[in-house]
Amino acid sequence: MLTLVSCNEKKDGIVFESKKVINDNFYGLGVEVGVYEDTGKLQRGAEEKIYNSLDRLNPKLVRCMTNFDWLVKNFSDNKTPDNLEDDTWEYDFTNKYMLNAYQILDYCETKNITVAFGIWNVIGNPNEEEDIYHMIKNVTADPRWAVMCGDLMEYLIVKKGYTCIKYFVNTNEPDYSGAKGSSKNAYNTYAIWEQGVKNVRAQFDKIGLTNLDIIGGDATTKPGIEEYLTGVATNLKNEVKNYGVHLYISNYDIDNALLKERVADTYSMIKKLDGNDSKKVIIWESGLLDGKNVQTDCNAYIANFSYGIRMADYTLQCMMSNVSGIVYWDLDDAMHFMYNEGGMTAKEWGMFSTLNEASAIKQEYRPWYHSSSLLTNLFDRGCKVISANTEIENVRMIGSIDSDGQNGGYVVVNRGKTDLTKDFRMDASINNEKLYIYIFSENQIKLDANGFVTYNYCIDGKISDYTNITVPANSVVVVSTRRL
Amino acid sequence: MKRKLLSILLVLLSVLSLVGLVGCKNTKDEFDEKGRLKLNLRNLYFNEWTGGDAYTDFLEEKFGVAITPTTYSYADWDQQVYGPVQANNLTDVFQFNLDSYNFSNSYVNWVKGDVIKAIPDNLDKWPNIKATLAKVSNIDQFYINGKLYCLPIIKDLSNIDTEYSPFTYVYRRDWAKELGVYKENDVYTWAEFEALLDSFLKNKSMGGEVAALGDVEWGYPSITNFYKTAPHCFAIAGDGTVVSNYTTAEYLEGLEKAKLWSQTGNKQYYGLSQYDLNDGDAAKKYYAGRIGVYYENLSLANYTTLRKKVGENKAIDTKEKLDDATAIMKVYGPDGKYHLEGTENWFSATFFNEDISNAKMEKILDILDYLLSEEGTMLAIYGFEDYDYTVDANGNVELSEAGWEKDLDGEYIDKLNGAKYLRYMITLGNDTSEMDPLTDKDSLRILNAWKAEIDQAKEANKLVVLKERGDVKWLTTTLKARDSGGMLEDANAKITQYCYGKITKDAYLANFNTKQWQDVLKEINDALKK
Repeated sequence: MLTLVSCNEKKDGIVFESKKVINDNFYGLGVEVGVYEDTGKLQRGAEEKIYNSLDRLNPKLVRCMTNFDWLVKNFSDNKTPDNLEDDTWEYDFTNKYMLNAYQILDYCETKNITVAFGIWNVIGNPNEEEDIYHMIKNVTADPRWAVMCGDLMEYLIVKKGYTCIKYFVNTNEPDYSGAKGSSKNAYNTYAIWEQGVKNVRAQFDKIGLTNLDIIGGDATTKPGIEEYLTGVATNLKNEVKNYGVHLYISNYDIDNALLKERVADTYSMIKKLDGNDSKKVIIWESGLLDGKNVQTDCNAYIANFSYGIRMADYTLQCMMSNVSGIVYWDLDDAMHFMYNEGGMTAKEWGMFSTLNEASAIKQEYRPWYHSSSLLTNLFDRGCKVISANTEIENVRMIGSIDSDGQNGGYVVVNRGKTDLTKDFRMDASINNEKLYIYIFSENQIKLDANGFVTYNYCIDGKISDYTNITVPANSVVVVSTRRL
Repeated sequence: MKRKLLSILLVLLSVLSLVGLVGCKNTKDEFDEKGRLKLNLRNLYFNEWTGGDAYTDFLEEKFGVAITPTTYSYADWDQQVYGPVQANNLTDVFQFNLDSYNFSNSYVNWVKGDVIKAIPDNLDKWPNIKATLAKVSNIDQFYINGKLYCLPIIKDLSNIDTEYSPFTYVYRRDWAKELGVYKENDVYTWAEFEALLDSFLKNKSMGGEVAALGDVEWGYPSITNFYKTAPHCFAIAGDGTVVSNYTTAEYLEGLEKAKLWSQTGNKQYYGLSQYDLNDGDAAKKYYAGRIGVYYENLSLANYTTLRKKVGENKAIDTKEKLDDATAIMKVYGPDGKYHLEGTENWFSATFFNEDISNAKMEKILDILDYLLSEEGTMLAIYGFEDYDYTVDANGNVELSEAGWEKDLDGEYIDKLNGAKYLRYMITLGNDTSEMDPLTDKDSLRILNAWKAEIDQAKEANKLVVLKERGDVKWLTTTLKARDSGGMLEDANAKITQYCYGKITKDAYLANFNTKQWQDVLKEINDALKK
């Protein structure tokens, strides 16, 4: 039951305090929408579903990756592959992968979504005997890499006009080296990657892409994150204006709020090295480790409600430790595949699947799509992230005020075993008339006729007044002055 | 023909690798920003596990280490070990498939070349490791000048005396029942086995689409197991001398049977062209119902996979149907006995880079000893007590809802638990299958029942275990070390070629009377006389 009460301060009331600012310019939450590796496997109507889903999700950040192997042509015709100055290759900007990329970028451009666009790996065959390009060993330090990256980004930003692309990803998870012969990253080291970033930066500057930032890291392993962030903070002060990581976390760490500490520790390490707080941390891939099948690269947890609750908890813990943006991995099972002797199998990490072969239940929106939709919509680009006046065991809370100050809201994640009933308010001067209240729990989630999450209650009242709210055990409650 | 072996190239690489060892330098210990000792560990079973999970974090905190795990691809495992040996950039710990074919050529040479570091003589500080090593079969073979240079990875601490492998037949009991050739409890005499294959061939072949009998690629022709007296290259003749296994009268009898049963023979039970199957093809055909009797390594992992894949067939929609489609067959050979290949109670071994400090080695041994302890085992199987599980007053484990959720099919969802992966450096953990929530209990139950029956047969002297004599298997002589891996691979090729009529009997026999075979056999026999 919800009750509005006066704004006189209450002893046990919870106040989201506009002066307790964690982040005064939050970039937003988003999702990975990679170039689809085989659009021929999609079900009829997939495209409509994908973009309708994105409309509801309303991401502020999108990470989109492609492959040079799909794009670069006539590279093999080089008579002298060891000639690193050779730039006689060509590009096929009209193949199906690029057409798919344009579709995604058109959408992002229209919706004013900030995009990190990048290349999964260097070009070539990881098997040395079959690698005619000779880029595998030098990885991104190969000077041809910088030229290719410059050519591609110039084409996309200048010629195609995708000004939504603000970041470039200098290969995916460079710290995950894998095995020689089967991984394109096998020869990579931080030093090589750093040289690659310097080369790419110089190339971007040379062709006038001075505002295109390069992701500061994109590392994924624990030691890798430490090494790459340290390197970026100390050696790439001028070349890179951000810190980027991938973060996959155990349930235990989320349930016990250890993620918050871990991110805070990382932030403090960076600040110590960097000397200033101007460069922000963005998590470009986020997810849970438990449930991951290391052989198929699928996660069995994504179908469960708990994944949504934990990812919401994950989001809040990171935001409470001043992370400036989070991108969920990922939108659709149909985007990425695992390739092995038995053929290709979908990497199931998505919020749904548009694969033709997917079972009916996999085609449905998974619970975490709905919880993510609430958060991506609440935390607007440029919003101010504020904290509450108190802390409660097993509860994470955070408030948000839109950049124009006209709207706001708060999220309460109750990971306890009992319901939490409290009076909540925000001390901001927001002149709202209604409050939309959303409850994400297995028993109380409410979906509209389109299958999208909708509010459980809409009440008259101001966010600055106390509202008595019950947050059920193991649930997420979102309160907003805007309909999300 | 039981497993992939080193190619001659790899053998050469390993010899060459010694040249690169001259410049070995001890590396300094490195520490992370928290002052924890950095460890680089490599193991086949790490797969795509990259650390960073809560369980690895716990171990890192407990032991003051920072772990970076890496893995191998199975298909390229040997090469991925030899490469770093040659380049002198081994990880702190690595894993190698140390079977008899690369024992002397790699292990002994690595010891001589200071590639690998000896395990401390006194293991009192690590009682669980000490106790485990005491159970390793043929452990004496690993000592060189009184030093042990690896930790053999034990398969099953609770079944340490198992001396046979689960390489045997799984079959379509439902077909057998349908055709009236089923025998109670899946036990078949040789004649009944042939009658079943006859019936499958006549009634199920669908114009050659379905094979009565099929072998996993490395296992062809499995029926020679019922005739031969040794598993691989070397057999013992009546006078006690070592001879080629492939030209003994017993082997040739089995070979002729295989030829008769193969696609170009008169009976054609082997309805597939085993000649040109790629790895994994035979299994896929069994999953798809295109093989009636299938020879495979029925390890728990393989058998679980097989049952899962067969169960994906829409027609197999009940547990009873699945059991009938994946039943394990027990076949008495022409001599009235079961025949199974012998095995060691360990598979592969963990090695320590010679360059690492004693402190680092001790740290790794500390971790492994802990993971063998009851507490460490519980961590590896269940996770954290009071989060993932609780133990009641009677010692019963109860899994928590937060720690162990189930998927939409009602199966427990796997946890990414670094302790479980790290434990693979010292044991494959088959002993924990029973307690592991992720184990397919039906597969385990069926395999355990099969094992119990085989053990009974052993007691009743109705089991032949094909084992190579220890003094031959582990003998380290120059030519044997250099050539035997290649000789085995070559023999496998010639056997298949002969069974498919690609070479004559004379050409087949001549292959085992070459100067290489003569020299190797002479060297072995001379060494054994000393």
